[in-house]
Amino acid sequence: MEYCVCVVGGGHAGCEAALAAARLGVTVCLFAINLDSIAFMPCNPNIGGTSKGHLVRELDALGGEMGKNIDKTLIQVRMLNKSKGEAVHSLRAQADKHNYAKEMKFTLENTENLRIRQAEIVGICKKGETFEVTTNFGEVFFFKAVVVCAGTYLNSRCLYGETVINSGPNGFLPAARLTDSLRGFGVEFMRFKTGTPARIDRRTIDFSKMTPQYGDEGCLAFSFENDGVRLCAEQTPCYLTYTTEETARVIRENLHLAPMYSGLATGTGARYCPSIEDKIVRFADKPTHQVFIEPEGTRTNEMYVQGVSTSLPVLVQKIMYQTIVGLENCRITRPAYAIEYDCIDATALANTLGHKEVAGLFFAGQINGSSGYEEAAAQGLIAGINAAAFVVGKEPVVIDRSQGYIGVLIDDLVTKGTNEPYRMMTSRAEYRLLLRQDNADSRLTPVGYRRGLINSDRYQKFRDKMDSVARGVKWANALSVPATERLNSFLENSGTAGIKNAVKLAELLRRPELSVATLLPFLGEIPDYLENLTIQEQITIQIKYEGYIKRQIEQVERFKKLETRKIPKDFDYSRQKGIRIEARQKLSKIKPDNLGQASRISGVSPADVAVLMVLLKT
Amino acid sequence: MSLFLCGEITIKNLKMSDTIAQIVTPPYPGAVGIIRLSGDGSVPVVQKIFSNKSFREAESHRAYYGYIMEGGTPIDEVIVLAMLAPRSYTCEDVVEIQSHGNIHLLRRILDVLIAGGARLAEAGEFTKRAFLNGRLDLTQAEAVCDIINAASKSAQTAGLRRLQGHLRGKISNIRQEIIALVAEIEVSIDYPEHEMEQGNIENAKIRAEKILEEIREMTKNADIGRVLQYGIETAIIGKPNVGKSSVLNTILKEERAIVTETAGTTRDTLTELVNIGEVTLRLTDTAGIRETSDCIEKIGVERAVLAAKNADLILWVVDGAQRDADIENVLKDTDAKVIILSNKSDIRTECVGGLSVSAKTGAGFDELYKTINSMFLDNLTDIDVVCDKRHIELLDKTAQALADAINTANLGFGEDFLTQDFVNAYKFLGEIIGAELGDDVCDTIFAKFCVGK
Repeated sequence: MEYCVCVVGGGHAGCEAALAAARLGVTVCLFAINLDSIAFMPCNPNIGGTSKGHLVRELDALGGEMGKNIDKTLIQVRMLNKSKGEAVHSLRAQADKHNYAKEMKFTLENTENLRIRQAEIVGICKKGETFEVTTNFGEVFFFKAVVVCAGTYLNSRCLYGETVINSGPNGFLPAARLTDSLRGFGVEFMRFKTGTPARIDRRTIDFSKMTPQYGDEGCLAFSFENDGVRLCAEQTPCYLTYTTEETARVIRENLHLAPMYSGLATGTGARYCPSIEDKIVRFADKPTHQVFIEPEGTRTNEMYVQGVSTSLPVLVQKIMYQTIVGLENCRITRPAYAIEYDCIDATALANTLGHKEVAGLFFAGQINGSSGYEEAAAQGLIAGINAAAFVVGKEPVVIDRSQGYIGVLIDDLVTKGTNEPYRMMTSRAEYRLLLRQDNADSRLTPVGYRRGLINSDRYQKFRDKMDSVARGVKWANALSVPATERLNSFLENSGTAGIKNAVKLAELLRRPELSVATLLPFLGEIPDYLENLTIQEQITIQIKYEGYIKRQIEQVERFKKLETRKIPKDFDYSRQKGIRIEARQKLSKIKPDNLGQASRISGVSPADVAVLMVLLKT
Repeated sequence: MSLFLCGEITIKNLKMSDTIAQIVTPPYPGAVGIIRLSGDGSVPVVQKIFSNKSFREAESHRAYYGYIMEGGTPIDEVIVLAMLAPRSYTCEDVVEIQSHGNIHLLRRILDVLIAGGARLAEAGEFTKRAFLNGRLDLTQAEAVCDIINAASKSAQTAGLRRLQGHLRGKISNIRQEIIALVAEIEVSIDYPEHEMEQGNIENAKIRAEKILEEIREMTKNADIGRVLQYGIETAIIGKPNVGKSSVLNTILKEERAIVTETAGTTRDTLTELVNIGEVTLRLTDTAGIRETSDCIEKIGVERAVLAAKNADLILWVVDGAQRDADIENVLKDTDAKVIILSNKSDIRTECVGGLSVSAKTGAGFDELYKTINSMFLDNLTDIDVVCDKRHIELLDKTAQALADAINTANLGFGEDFLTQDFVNAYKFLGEIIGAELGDDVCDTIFAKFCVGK
């Protein structure tokens, strides 16, 4: 046996899976249809955004690669939702997409235990404990575990109006035989669809008609290892512009040529990521729609047109894009398209991302019905860790819903399943006041360390930081701040009332307007460890939101109660007349581990769970 | 992050087919007593001890006449009804035996049934089976319990209405409102760059205040609900020799008063339930009141203090012109409703305020009952009364969550902090109608049942 773990696919899921498994000491071979497609960004040239930024921070806290890789290659970085509370602050970066892919490939190439190989996988079968993996060249490899990260490549076809090309994203070859092979394991498939806008030549854009959007000043990084590091001195701007009524007219007149409306498209698209024709139809009374023009890199003139994905014929696209403000003379470099692909019904998987019936077979990324690079990477990391655990006979790692967005994402996919491409959103996380991007390390770095993905150096730094924060919170609760004229005028300028007598610093910090950082000039001598901005921020958050965090922890405890009510593996649902037939079927299929998971299955109502609860007690 | 504590959970083999039996009529003498059986063995068990042989091929929903036999001797003359699965309360085969309403007789029949293979049903087990067989959902099961325990006609109506989904409709609507509010906030969080119609905090606050008001309205009624469900806790107080016991006796004569023992106490503490029109008076510790007629004045005041704390209604009996200043002081701060009864109207002509009654002639009592009824029931038509303690608790929690959210908005914290409490409110309401699952609902609901249902 040459290698232990096979990773099928070199996208964002495949890269994380391969790196995690190899770093945990098992040998890995990653197959990609084209090695130039490794870590490629076929759609938007950015990483992060609301809730996706959380995923990247969590992934980094566990020892994943995406955070470090985007930190190396970003050309603009911003914190979104800054006007809202800390729980929904989200980091987003524009990537130089070519550098991003190159850096990631280079990291793979230089990781011990890891081999990358260009080939299309056409067959996977299991003989005894061994997986036989066949390439399109007729070679057969043997593995103990397989992680399938096929992305959008399975039987994919790209739609440009009536022009249909059987290809993967961006013209890469599709994987035409793997679906059938996987059906041999009893895996069920669905057909999903997504799309991407055109890319446009920078020289043909009139930026003077658009609003530039710059990045944030200061030190912002995805990786906790880069805390306090200023990553990108010169940030490349994006531009905001709008569609016009003319855009709507062109689309309406040609709607019959769009595959979604002509009936040519068969896959299910995502409601929250609509094509421009969908937006025009659904929001007919809205005269204009926002468009963001984003750079694809610093060494290319290609610009991404966010908000205007379409599958209209290329001839129509040319006219349509020219109706957008500032794009009147634009030239398309790559036309927009919709892509359809096979993905699996992920309810066949356990929370480890391993198949419930086929030991050693894992699935991660878009093949599980998700969408987005970050969602894919997060699954890849967990599947990689668990494939390695499977090979060496260790306990799998499962992140639960109260520990991270990663847990929410995976639990949603494998428990609820999805009938459209699944995108992470902060509203999907029940405990988001605890699951902030700023504290991802405190939640997950101990997990990464125990598993062996975080080295002791980094772990020690993390411990030191946690100690400082704890000391700082005590300090703020004890420190008395005198009422001075200078302080009071500052307070009033900050929009909050002055103080008559000295108050504890903690009391001031509970006001939404104030933070350790802004109050620093009034605090006299401060302990050394408090000079670190991240630590100041943590102290502020922990004190300011103490009551809210406490309430959320109570919610988590309620959640754990149901989560600890285990359901026996062989429980016979078919005989339980009090449970509705649909729910009985769903429960029999998904075989939830506990009452909490049972309650999240779509098609299983609280009344059904109540019956189950009483049955389990009897 | 706390570790999972996975307790071993063993599942005893659920013998849904075993047959349970229990006396389902109350344990007082009555014309008819009923014993109910449920389970696969119901019909065979009864066949063994029933004299009517045509019951061997028992038809569903048909009455059979005959004798219950014990070793060849008839115990009682009965009517037997079989309700075969699934057309029964539990969705299993159910048999009901109607005998004479003597408790000893009923117990003997029950013993014979147990000897024949049935086992004693636990409290709430019939309803639990109905629930497990999909006949009732949790809220309906809960409503069944309320109807059984209802002290008055109005409470039965409240229970029935809930059974029919009134409360459900109202709470569902409020939940819809809350979720719409949350959705608007969520859109602004998940799509920060898009100019959509974003819910701003101020707007959310105003809407939350409106919802809170609705919830408070419901909990206000909840107090009335409790009173309807369990009876109006009533105390009769006053100085010695004003005629408290004769007032009590007059009220007790009004309708048949049900005297029950309060669990866990001695026979001295009695609760007497008296139906007065639409409401029920709950006269507790009346033994004490009986004694007060020859008590010293101090005890009269002490009783007033106690009554002011616990009672919903205080009947303050005064004699002629003299009110008692001590008692008047005590009653100043009570939440209870107070009615002053000027007793002995038959031998006195001057008006002293309050209601003129005569315990001796019964004059004025009709007026008293009318007053009590309108005190507790006016404006009550067409509102959903929440009776259940669990529901009242959840409504209180909902109100607290909404108040927290409003407070968050006032403090100027961000949207993400606002939604937490809205989501809590949504869940608490959901637990009332069974749209959300509390972790201990099942236990609390089935624990409340009395034996035989």
